[in-house]
Amino acid sequence: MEVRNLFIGFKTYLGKLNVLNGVDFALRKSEKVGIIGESGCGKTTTMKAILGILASNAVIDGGEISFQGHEMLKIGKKQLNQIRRKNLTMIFQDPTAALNPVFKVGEILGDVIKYSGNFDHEKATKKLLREKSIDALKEVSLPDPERVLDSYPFQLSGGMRQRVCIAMSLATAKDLLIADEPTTSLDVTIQDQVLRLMKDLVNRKNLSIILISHALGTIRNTVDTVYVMYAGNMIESSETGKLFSNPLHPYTQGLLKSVPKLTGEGFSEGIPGRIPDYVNPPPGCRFNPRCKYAMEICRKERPRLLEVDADNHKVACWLYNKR
Amino acid sequence: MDKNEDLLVVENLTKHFKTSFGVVRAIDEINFTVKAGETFGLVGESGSGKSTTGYVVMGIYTPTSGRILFKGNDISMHAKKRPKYLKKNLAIVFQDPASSLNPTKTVKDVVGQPLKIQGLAKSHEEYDKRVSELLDAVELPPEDFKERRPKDLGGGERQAVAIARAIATNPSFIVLDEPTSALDVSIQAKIMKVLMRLQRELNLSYLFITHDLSLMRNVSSRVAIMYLAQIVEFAPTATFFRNPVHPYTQMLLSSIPVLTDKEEKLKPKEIISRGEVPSAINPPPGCRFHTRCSFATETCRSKQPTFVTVEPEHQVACHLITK
Amino acid sequence: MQIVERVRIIAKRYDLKRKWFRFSRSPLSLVGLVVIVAAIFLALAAPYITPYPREAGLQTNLQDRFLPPSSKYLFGTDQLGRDVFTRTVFGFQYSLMMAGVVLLLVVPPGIVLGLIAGYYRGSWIDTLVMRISDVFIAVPPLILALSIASVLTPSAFNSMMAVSLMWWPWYTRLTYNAASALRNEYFVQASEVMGENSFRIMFNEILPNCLGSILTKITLDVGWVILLGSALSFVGLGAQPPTPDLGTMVAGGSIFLPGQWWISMFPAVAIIVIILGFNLLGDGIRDIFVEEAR
Repeated sequence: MEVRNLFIGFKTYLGKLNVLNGVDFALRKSEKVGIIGESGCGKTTTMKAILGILASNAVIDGGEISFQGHEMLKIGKKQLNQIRRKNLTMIFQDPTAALNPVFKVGEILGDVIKYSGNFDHEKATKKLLREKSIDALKEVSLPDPERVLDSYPFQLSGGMRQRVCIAMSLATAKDLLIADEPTTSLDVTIQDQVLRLMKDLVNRKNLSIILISHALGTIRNTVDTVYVMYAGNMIESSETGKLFSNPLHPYTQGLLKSVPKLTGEGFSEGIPGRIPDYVNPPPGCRFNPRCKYAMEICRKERPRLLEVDADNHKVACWLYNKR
Repeated sequence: MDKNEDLLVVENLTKHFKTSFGVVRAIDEINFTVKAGETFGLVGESGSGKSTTGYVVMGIYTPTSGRILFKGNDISMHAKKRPKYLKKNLAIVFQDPASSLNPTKTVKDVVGQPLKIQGLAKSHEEYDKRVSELLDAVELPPEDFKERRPKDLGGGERQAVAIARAIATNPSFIVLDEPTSALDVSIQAKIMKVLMRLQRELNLSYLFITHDLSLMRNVSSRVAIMYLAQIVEFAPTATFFRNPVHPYTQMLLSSIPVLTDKEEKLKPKEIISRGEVPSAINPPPGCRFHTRCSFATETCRSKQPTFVTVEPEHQVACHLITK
Repeated sequence: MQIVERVRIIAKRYDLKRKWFRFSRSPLSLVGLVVIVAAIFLALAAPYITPYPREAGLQTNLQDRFLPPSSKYLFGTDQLGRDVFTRTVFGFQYSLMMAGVVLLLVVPPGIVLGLIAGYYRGSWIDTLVMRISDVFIAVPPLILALSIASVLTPSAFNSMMAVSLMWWPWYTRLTYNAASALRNEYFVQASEVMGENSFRIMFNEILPNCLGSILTKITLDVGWVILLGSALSFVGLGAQPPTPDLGTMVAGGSIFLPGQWWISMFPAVAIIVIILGFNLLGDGIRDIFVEEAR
């Protein structure tokens, strides 16, 4: 998948929110990519654009999204639906909201499998669907799958619900899994289990995954490549280990310093300022008002995401881009 | 009050809720004290009872049995029955900044409400001045923020307003219920710094409730770990992180996602998390953790463990630990 | 200049700019607003803008009976020669006034009871208030109104009383639902913990957050109350002739259908217009208060 120079805005009573400011992002087959960003940076908007589920007041001001050769922003609804059925899947942040509370898990899961387009759904008998559903639940290590299928979502714990959502996404073989903060609402010990599970399944099925989170530790343990997003731009990307050991962009550095450490060093000052007003965003690099290294050019021109050294470590920052 | 005197004493506190599913045992006979000027950390996952403990201390719930003493006064009753002069001394900051502020009020109204209730401002000017002081104390410029509404504020700013409200009556004790878990990492650092500074300047004691051990490491002087309505381990912070003893504590610590290799080395390696938190309506007999513990013995399944002192001020409730 | 400043302060205090934006996004809501403003204007200006104001009262004009709509009598004349147009405009006045009185009688006590029951949810107060209101709700509205109105002498006032008596529980129930949901929000807990007294919590903290659904319901109810009042008049239990109540006019003219259709038709259309206008307005008000996700 490739996202090229994507600009998306939203019309509101305050004016037009120019959220995405030229997002550049790429993902190869079977690659595991993480997107780190704080709330309001536009990561969910980018994902919604890929899936074609943006709100009605969204305006696409430019850019392209291509996925397996398809131009996602230009194709018709029918084709989009087909891709959504067969190739793309998403896991949302809140498993409770993602499962319809009036249906039993078995019914929800059965429907997903039945209409996944993977087999002729005329032939889908109840028995066949139930078998496949049980298989799917076993894959996510849910104990007692039969009982889970006959339960309503509210009868399950948060961790179990999220595992059901993961089972739903993985049951119908896809190419790309987008997970938006999949473990944020879970307890730490359950989070650990669920992430291990996802990593294992992704590896086994050779899926590509985009994992979105604001929890840096989660990203570090799960993906190979990381993108850091700020105020509608990808400002840094690199192989995971390198990003955490050698962050280049001032925002990334500030972010990593802000995380409390087990070594007990106390708290950093955080990053001064707040995220920009999207109605009147700062010209040039959107981080410049908060950046202690800001130069004249930072206030005039937006830096692009360019490679800094041979190791595929990219930064969008005038401190590094050759000028 | 002198430093190190007992400010808050909790004795054999129990809280059960009657629901249509059965009796939920939220807290079962816990004991702890918070000394003047210190930060006491209460750690646990969902179902542990940590938030409920904070609420009972504040008087949002009436204890089922047990006692709470504040500066020697018995406050083991609902807030409505507590004498007004005592209410000045205790405050709480809630977990969810969005719902802890009335959406129809302005920041000025929210922060000034405790002043009005306690009759602390005799005139409009005094009221205004005090509100501005409070907003300054949490690093929100008063002129900008006084007339704003919660919906226009970011999570961190809302939480800062909640803190300003909490310190309005000059309390000596504040319950902080996961004050930063809903916030982004860079804002978390800022809020924590504000809280630490206020503690020094105003000589506050904190009951700091969280599930984030990395956060706890940097904020509290003493820690208690809760599991399913009981405290399983107590220790001063440094001791605790150096030598976690209870199997649950070790499981908790090993699940934390960390960012640096230095931190990885500090984590106990042996225990991979497994299982789910059992129901609080029917907790397992004996040691409540035995269903998930790899070292469980017959005794663990039948008898409740009592506290054993491992080091000075370090106590554990586990059958496997002998003096 | 002073007035402009005052308006600005009020707009800020009640966040009017944002509310107007949300309201005006739907063109239908604006249509509703225009219709209602026009209706209120007609109601207020009735004596001054109608050609034959005295025919809304006792004056009759027997030699001009049953005249079809013309330039002299815009909506024609009825069986007593009175100008239907004048009487319809006065009908607006009467109907809106009746709706206003009923809602004024019903809304405040309904809300207060609902707030108290919601705040003390689970206690005997809750049970008492809600079960009493359940009893009133259980009786079909028209039957209750008819029974009451027929026991008392038929009059406009008595029909308003009858309608009020069966309307109040809906506001109690609405407020109860909103209040009991809000009761456990953190900001209410915070107020309690700080020592705020219960009544202030109910009226200052909880009520402002219920206003959305209450205001929406009020605008929709205007239509319903007018309809109920018209139904009562239609069967002769409400306003008595010669009061120009729209329902009475429809009833009175129904025997002359289809020949002299204008006598019933125009008042009927007026009823439809008022109800439609308030419904659209109500939709707009609901849009204002719909909580946004972020």
